[in-house]
Amino acid sequence: MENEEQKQPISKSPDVPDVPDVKGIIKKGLEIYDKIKEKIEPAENGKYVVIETESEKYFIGNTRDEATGKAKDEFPDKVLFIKRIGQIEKISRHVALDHPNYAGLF
Amino acid sequence: MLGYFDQKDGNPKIVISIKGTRRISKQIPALFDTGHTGSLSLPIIDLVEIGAKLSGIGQVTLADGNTKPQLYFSVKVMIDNIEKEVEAALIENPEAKEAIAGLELFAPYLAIIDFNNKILRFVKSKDEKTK
Repeated sequence: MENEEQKQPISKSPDVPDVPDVKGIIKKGLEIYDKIKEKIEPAENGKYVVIETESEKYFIGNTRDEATGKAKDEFPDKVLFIKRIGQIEKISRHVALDHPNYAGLF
Repeated sequence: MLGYFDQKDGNPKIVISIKGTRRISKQIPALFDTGHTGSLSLPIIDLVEIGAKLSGIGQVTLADGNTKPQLYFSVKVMIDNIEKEVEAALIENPEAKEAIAGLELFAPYLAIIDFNNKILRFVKSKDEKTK
């Protein structure tokens, strides 16, 4: 039988800030976007929506920078979810040239 | 405000100054890409050197239909002696040396491109001048 006194105490993890959960933020962001979609599409198509995923608050701007600026006024330290309204986002072809999945589209 | 045509690759570029959470600012060449949605994409090396802070996460769609996360970082950009805060997209390729500047970065300006003489200039639009 194991001697209780010989058990090693479980060490407490140090308090460190959480690393942003990239997949979690995207998943939650898309879920919230689906909830608000009917309110903002198609009237705001082409603009950007920035979502704070914990409070589910969202901010709309004509540009990504504008929408993020509005969100950061209220949530300066949060990592936000950013999406273009009504459209998919593609990456610049100059960035894409390095990406294997782009396979010479351009 | 003058840009230039790079003699090495013939592409139109402009030198911009960027700053993150560290006090140092860094001057880098940025390719002027009219097909770039958004204001700025930066190589990972530059983002790390200036201590840029992660501000947002998005999702981009690739040509094959797959999606991947896109990270955005808060960066202060100095153009024409005017500082503005932008959300710079990360260029993941560690060998990338050049920033990519999109239309949003130059929104108040008119871009004049003389392809014959290889001149790139940005001038303030009439609306901005009268403000």
